[in-house]
Amino acid sequence: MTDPLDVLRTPVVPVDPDPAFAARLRARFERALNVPKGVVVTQATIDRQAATTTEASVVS
Amino acid sequence: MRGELADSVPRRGLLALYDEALPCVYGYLRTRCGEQPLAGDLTAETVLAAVDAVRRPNPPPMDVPWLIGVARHKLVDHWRRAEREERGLRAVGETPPAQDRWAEHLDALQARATLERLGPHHKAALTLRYLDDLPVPRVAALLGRSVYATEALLVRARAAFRRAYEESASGDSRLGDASGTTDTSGREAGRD
Repeated sequence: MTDPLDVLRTPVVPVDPDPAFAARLRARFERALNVPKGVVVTQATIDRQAATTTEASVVS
Repeated sequence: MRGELADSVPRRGLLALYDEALPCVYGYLRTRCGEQPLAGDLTAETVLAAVDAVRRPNPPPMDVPWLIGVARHKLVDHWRRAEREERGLRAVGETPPAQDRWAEHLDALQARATLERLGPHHKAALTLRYLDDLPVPRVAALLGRSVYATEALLVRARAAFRRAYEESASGDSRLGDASGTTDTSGREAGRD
């Protein structure tokens, strides 16, 4: 018998975030690659502005 | 400084991976955490965690599935934090799990909406088990629980889901709130 909750199954569908957010995060990613060894970059603050504007269309 | 990474890791490849993986990571999180700003935050956490990982000795193979795995850990961490924050607000009494026999076909959209109304622990367990289709031992490992405890958690989560689903489906007047916001406080029973 199938499990009714199988209806929740959700594959990973690429979604483009807001381009400005993606560009900011890419810049942070590049900067983080340059920091000296021993510095943990995840301790940096997260940009709360995030993808709060427009999400680009779903790319399937 | 730059050379320390460039000596061991092809940075151009990492930037290409970022461009390829970002929509997958964001899409994974966006469909599971329900909130756009939160999906952005967790995406940023995932990307920065990847940088930390690649700077360690013997870095893991950097590819999209690995990054999705990092994102999954970030999502679980988020639910743990949310669970801790809600713990103080939780009603003391717990409703015993309903009998876990449920053969009806569920409406997918309503099921997703119901999942959003559950508490963090239940949402985490059901998301990993059903949305991500992970076997129980993997869910247990991600949640830091034993397989036995995870199975018990899933039983309680399913019971809570069923109650919430049936209440929303029937428009149960006992809730007294058609918006469903009542459920996010103490109404969602059977939490851990």
